[in-house]
Amino acid sequence: MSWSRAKTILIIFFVALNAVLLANILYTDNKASVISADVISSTVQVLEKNNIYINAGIIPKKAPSVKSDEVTNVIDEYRAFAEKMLGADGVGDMGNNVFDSTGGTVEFSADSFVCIPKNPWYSELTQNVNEKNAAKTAVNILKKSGFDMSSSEAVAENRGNGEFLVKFTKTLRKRPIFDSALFVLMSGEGVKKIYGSWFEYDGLVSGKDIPTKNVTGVLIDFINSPLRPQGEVRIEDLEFGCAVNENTQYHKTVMPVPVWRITLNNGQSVYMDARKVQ
Amino acid sequence: MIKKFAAAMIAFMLAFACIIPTVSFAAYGNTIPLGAYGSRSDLIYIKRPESHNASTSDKTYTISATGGAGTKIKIYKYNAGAGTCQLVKGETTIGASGLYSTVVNLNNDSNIFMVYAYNDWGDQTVRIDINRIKKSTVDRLKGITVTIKNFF
Amino acid sequence: MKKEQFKSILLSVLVVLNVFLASQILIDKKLWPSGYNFFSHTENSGIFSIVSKLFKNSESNMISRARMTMPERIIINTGDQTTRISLNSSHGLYNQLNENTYSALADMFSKVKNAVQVEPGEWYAALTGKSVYLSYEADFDAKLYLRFMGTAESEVLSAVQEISDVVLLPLSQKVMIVYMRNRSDDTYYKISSSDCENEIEAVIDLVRQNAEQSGGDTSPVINYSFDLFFDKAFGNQRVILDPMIPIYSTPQSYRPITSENPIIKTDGTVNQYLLDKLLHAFGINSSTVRRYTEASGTLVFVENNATLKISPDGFLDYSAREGTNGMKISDSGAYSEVCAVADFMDGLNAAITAQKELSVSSVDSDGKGTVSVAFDYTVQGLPVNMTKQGQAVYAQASGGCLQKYTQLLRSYSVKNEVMQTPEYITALDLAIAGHMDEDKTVVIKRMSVGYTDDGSIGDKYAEWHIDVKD
Repeated sequence: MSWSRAKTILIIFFVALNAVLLANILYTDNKASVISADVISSTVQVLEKNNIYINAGIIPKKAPSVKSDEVTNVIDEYRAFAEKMLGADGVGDMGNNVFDSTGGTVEFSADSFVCIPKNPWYSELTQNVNEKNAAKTAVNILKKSGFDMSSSEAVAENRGNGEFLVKFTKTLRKRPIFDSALFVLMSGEGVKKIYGSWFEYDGLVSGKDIPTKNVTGVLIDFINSPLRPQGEVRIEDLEFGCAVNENTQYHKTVMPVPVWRITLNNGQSVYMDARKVQ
Repeated sequence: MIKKFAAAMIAFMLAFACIIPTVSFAAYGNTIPLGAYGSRSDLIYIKRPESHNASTSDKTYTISATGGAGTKIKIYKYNAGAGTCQLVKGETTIGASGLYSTVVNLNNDSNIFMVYAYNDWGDQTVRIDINRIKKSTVDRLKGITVTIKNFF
Repeated sequence: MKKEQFKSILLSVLVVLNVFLASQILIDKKLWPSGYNFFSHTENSGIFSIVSKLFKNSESNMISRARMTMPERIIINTGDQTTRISLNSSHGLYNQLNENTYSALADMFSKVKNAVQVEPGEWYAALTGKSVYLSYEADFDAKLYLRFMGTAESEVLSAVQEISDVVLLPLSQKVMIVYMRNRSDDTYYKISSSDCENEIEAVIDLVRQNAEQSGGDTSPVINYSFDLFFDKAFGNQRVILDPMIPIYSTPQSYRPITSENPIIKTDGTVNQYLLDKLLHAFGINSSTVRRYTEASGTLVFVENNATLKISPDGFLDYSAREGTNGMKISDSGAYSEVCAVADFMDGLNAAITAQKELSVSSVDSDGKGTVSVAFDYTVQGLPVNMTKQGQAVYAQASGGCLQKYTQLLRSYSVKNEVMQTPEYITALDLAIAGHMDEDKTVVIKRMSVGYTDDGSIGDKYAEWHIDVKD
């Protein structure tokens, strides 16, 4: 056999072999992130045996991939943030993490703040506020106050008496940060209160992949979790997101932990750690 | 008149009394006689050598002493040819610790040193004799080469 | 021809691609069939794991044992003050002499069962003859010291509680006397053997010959405090020195050093690569650990059983969480735990390019199963005295678990210039000046040259460090 013919045979062989390997890699990769119907069905049965009921249709079939991203607290330092909200002039430290000026007060607790103007702010922006434009109005106000409102979701609530409360949730690569939210309370007279906690993600440095448990594994963990309520439990919703966790202390920067939010039929939400600890 | 004379006498005596401590001795310079003696014996205390005499096979020796802070010390070595002691260690002042030590060279078999200490209250001289001997002699004196059975 | 060339190139590309795809399957965990790990299979196979564990444990234990008993200073007494020399770990002869003395001591302790208490005079007499003085910074529990010397815990030397310093007095190549000093209660003990093979006397003679031939003009004359009777008060002498403090006739030369924080730079940027290696050393998965930054800029990593903090100035603090044991590092027992801490510390510093030279400064046991050990950095053989933290590394272990580990993360580089410390007497006078108003004798426990590090980044200089007894 000539070398030329041998080469031809080898080329055909390696093309076929590489095709098989590539197909195997793609299939296995896809398989690793997909939860089979059998597994879902088995999980539902195990849950029911433990008095927990869930519609199999709400269990996601694909395991999300997560990166260990770091977010930065919009509050870099209490006094500096208070001056940013109230203006730099005449801000006094009243003690107990309370700052005061002629413009209003800002009070801090761990990552959270409550800013109450002495007289409503931005009345020129809120004079025609209604349920439809409340979210957009609040975004404009917060941007003027120096907040980065990109990658955020808003929900507006009509409180009656012309008052609207808009809640903003930050999303990290489309995953909501569950335990951090920013609220704007306003009426036609202006902004009456801005409060909550807020983290910003610059997206410049991408973290490493975090190995996570499948949602079915999390549901099994939920059976014996101390967070599970006693008696019959009905799960209404499952959502994947992240949490700063441990809200009793201040975080300058933090890598939010991936969590599954389990919403029960009584409105209660339980957050289960989704990290696969090895 | 008499009163003026008496006052002048008293002033003169007071002045003289003040000057006395500073002119009762003159500190030695680059040499000191072998038999020199000072006005005090308590300015310094020679710790090593304890008896102001020592024998060693080493080619240097460390003299140690204690004294009051501020006391100055010079070390002289006897030069037989010159018939006097010559300065080998310049002035050192004892500090707050009160400790003093210096290393002197032993060039001869017989080495005589004069330690000269002085301060505002007087001066003191101490003669120290250091003899150089062979190492085997030192070992015998120290008793290091006793038989092994003594140690078990 | 062109067609053949094309085929050759295509074949080469396909082979390379094949190797790449195959390696992806072997290495990427996601692509393994469940339970399969090629490398794990080999490592965990019975014979392989037993053999590798055997070598790993015995070798690391030997190294740990030997490094725990490295003296801060070795003084070779030749019988003359002029030729007496002092060695620290930077000296060319130090390693050889350390090995020689370690072997001799290990041999002695394996053969001799009982120690007898002796008068201080015998200890001093040994130091004025041809002997080797090992000065340790730490005061060792005697049983632990013997374990470090390779002697299994037993009733050997039951009379000795602590060992602070050791003198080896060789009488011949086979006859040796060893003296041990307990600094805490100023007691002295000796053991002797007529069957201790050693080369120590030969080393001492070599040192003396070298010193005599070189003239000895550049080396300082070394006396012990007891040589000069500075350990005994007379008259109105206000200061007493510990008898074993070496007195140097000339200032000490040294090279200044510059400190660096290997993990966090002065501008606040974090070396993520080294940080990941640090976390890995503590068994922390950097992907899954809960991580945040405090207001001070301190990085915090929270695991189920421990919290790790690194402050911007490089202070690392690992603490087991309440109710948990911490990271498992060894079997239970003070000896195993101390060796494991030393191993862990060496591994950590090698991984993050921190200063690798450290000497043990204290080893304590509370008698209830908790052992604590502290280390100081050494550079050019001189210890680095941490004026803020107290010691460079501090660790606490119990039940084979690391419960607490703190370290000021540093690396030191040596500058080209040479400087000199003040004369010892000048340093002593300065130290005493601060106690002049006290109406009592001032006792100096220790006096030695070391670098001073206040925790800031930058140039560090050596000076005399003087410990005054309270």
